[in-house]
Amino acid sequence: MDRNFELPDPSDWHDTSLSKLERLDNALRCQVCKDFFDTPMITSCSHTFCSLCIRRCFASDGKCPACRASDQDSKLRRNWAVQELVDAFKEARPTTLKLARQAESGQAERSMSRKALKRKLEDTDIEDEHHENIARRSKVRTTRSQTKRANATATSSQEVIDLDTAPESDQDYQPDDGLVACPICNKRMKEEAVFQHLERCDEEMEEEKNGKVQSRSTTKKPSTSLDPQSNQHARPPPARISQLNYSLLNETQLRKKIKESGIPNWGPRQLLQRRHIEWVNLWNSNCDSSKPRSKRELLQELDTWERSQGGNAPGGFNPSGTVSTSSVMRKDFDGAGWAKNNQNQFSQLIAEARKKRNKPPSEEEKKDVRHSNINGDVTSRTPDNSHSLQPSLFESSQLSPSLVPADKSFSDSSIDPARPYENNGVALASIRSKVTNINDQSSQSRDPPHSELPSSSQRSRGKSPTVLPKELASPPSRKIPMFRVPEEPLKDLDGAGTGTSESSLMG
Amino acid sequence: MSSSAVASKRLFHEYRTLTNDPPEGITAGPVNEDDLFLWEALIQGPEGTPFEGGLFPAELKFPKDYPLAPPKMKFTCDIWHPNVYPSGDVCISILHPPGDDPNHYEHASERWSPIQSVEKILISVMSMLAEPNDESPANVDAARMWRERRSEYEKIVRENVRKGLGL
Repeated sequence: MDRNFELPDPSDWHDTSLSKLERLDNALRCQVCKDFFDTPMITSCSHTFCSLCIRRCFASDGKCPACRASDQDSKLRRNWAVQELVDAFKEARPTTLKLARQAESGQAERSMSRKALKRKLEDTDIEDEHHENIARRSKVRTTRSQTKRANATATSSQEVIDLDTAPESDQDYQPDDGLVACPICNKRMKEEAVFQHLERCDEEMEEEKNGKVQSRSTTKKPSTSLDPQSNQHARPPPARISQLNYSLLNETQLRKKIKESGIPNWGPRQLLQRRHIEWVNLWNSNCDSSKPRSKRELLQELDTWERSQGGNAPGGFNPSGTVSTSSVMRKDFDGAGWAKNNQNQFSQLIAEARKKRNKPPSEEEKKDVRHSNINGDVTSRTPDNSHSLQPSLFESSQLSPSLVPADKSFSDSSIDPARPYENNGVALASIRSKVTNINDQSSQSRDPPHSELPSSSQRSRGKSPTVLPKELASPPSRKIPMFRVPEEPLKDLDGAGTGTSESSLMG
Repeated sequence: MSSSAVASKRLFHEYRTLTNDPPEGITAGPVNEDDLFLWEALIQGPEGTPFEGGLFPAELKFPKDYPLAPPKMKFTCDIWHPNVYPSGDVCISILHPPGDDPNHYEHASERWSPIQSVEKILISVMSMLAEPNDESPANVDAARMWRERRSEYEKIVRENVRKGLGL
């Protein structure tokens, strides 16, 4: 994906002839994600956010981000009016912006007839919709109804308006009513309703034949499904699920519950809990959506989460604040940078090790110790992080894959999560090469006299002083009496905070 | 959309807004556009304070679950201030999540919330430079000096400003 892609932003209106639209643009955005509202929900304190954003906020601290009033997700209500505003604005935005950017001649404004606007829209589709369509089309299992849904996306905002005036039970062909026909029985209904209707379509036709349709509750009539609100009562979408009372469950029970909900149940307890919270948020916000997605798509989202913040996260999000071990396994792991950043610590460890020994061990001896440690670590980690390597192939950059979750996720859905390395020669090879790299680096970083250490210790003597003193850094240092050793490194420890590698440890 | 995509997108939005419409005396942006989770910022010393004329570089690190959790901010220059740790880490209520308040002095309304932004953080830090909060000193020595020997405090600050400008 292009790094410099245009992300619609309120500041787009800056310095155009319609700069006052900046406020409108801003007002139609969720203040949590700064994007246009996606399935806006209103809190009991009357603030509106995207469904997923506010659910994540509530899961994190149970407070409204705007006014900090305590609230809970069960009290959220949909805000259809805002949804319509957003849909309409998004539709008109590209053309309006283009016009606003052009010279402010009256000519340009007059040409903005409704027709021109509509035609433009087809060309300059809004990005999000575009991705949605791609994601839908590229699904492995595409039903006819889903294709229709994707095609109908562009007109979805119209439908909502048309719904109230839609005829009760319309069997006639009406191409412009914004509804779609059931591929089996040809009944026309709102696109969202088709998917649910499909499951019961056969059943209903059967009943109709048997004349039983009258005795069935009215909820089965397709006409009622035309109204979004009554649709909710009539045929509720997949029911919302609630958070578990995590503290009451032991790990085995939690693992079992999580397995029952159909999401991966590997990893330590804390990860299980976080994963389940994320899943509940994804699931429930999908229930709120007027265009709900399939469970499969939600699972893909969860997988993306896993790779950015969960158990397969690349070297960042870890409750303990340390770099997660899986990052070392990544293909693009910056070994040299790691060695450099941790040079201070390495040097300290070396100094300490030397202090403990009256006589320093031979170079060979130490190398062996270190090698066996590293090898042991790597092999013991491998099973725990069985997912980490594979996804890293898609994460060579932070931004692009995360902005296109759909693309990314379906492309690796073919991999058997249980044994990601099988038949994967590349991965195996890279593991091996990494092990040798690490070994090389560790021997380099212990072999400082010729290159980095002396120079860096000179350069930053005042500023980041935990660098090994010169005497220690060079091999002859071992002949220096040991009582001289402790002074400098110990004295300098206080100032360690100025070194960048320490920053994460300092509150 | 995964959370981290939300974080990247949101950071991108903030970056755009700060570039197109920067507040006075503040410049900020990602160090490298490949990694939106590490920013650098330049803050001008507020006028009428001993920090006047100074230019203070800082580093902002964003968590993957931003904006649920606040970023960490750290000055990368010498700065003598009651609310800045000797390491450069900034201690200010807007950077503290509402959940933990070990000191019980901060109002929840001043703390981090997902609707806060980089811009608001930097503006708060700018006003913090002008008006230290000595209830919660991060640098106890600086706080005491600020309370008891204001002229000495101001002298150190001015010296640092000069040093920072390479004078």
